[in-house]
Amino acid sequence: MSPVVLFDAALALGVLGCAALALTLRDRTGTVAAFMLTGLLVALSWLRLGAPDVALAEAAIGAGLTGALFLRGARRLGPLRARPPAPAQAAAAALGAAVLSAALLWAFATAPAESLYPPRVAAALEDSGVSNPVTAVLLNFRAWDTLLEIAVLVVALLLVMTLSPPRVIPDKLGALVQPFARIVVPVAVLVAGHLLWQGAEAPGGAFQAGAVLAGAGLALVLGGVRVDRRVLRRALTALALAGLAVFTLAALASQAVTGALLGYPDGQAKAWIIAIEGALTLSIAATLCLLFTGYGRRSAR
Amino acid sequence: MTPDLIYPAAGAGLIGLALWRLATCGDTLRRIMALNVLAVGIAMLMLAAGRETLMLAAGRETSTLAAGRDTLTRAAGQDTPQTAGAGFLQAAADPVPQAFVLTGIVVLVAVTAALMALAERLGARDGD
Repeated sequence: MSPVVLFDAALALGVLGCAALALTLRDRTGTVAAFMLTGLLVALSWLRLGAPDVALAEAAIGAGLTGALFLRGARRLGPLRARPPAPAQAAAAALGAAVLSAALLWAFATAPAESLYPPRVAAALEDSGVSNPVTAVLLNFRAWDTLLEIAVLVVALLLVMTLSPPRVIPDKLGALVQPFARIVVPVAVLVAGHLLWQGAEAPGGAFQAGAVLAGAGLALVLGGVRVDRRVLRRALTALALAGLAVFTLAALASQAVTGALLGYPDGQAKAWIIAIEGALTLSIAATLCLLFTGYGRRSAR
Repeated sequence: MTPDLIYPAAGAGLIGLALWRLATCGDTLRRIMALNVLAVGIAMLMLAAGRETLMLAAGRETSTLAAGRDTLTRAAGQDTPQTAGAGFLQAAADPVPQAFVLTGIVVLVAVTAALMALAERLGARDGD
């Protein structure tokens, strides 16, 4: 057995083990810690599966931001109170889940191996304006999906606005928080700009950059920047909505210019993609920040 | 079990684990977490399905896509990405499932935020 296979096996076991811990520990903080660890190991396994773009997004969003959301919820929901299910119910659920898992694995193992898309993507890549195939798929070949995805983000933001959960007011975290933020925030802004720009030819892009920027925003919030200032909150909301607006306008403009929705004019695809991605980066960062900090007038820790 | 099936097996395992937890636990936060684990499991199956031939043997660049990307990076004056350490890094996975999974991650964090807001609202009402 080669070392690479051993590494894969250990990684897969680690992911399964951490996920099992996250879903069974009774201590709230422990489950969230196990969940974030799962996210980081999963990011590593995306790298092993040849998907560095997804790995970047998973590390920033799946492990980082989702973990922050869960920690907020753990604090607010209090300790776990649910009763364990009846043994018969647990056994039936375990049996059902195991059968489904086995069926999925069997289907996977017996499915034909060849995939249809890579040759097509490779053939069209030259005209897409970018050389990173994932960015080409996201912002050119299937840009319509991405437009709807941004719409989903806006819908979630509207729902959070309506529910107005209490705002996050962090405890005083000690003397080192502000120096930490002073270093981390500028670096995060630079990293986000780099990810956005290199997304055209290497792993990266608007989602990863937006997530890193949102992380910088959370560092600011935890460092004591008050997001409850009305002006700041309105500006962030406007920024969050601007992404969808810019993307929709770009779709309509491309329809007017080329006759195809989100079909960019020949030779200018890269400029269009960079413009849309730039707007999306800021908008995604603002949306993710607002989804975490909340809107409500009441405040809670 | 062949090496190709390590990640699919982990993905299927994650899906089973998450479904079991969704069926047996009534706690809101844990169910939302199970939903996240379910999404990771599905993503793992999708990406493993889109993975091209294992690049365990150094320099075996068979896929059209990897070859195309190679030409482009070379044209851009950069080193070819997979000369060193090709035994460890693999050919790029199919970009279409990658884009789906990326979309899924962003949608899922939005869904998680919305569900957590709902759960906290419910929790606050229970506490009154």
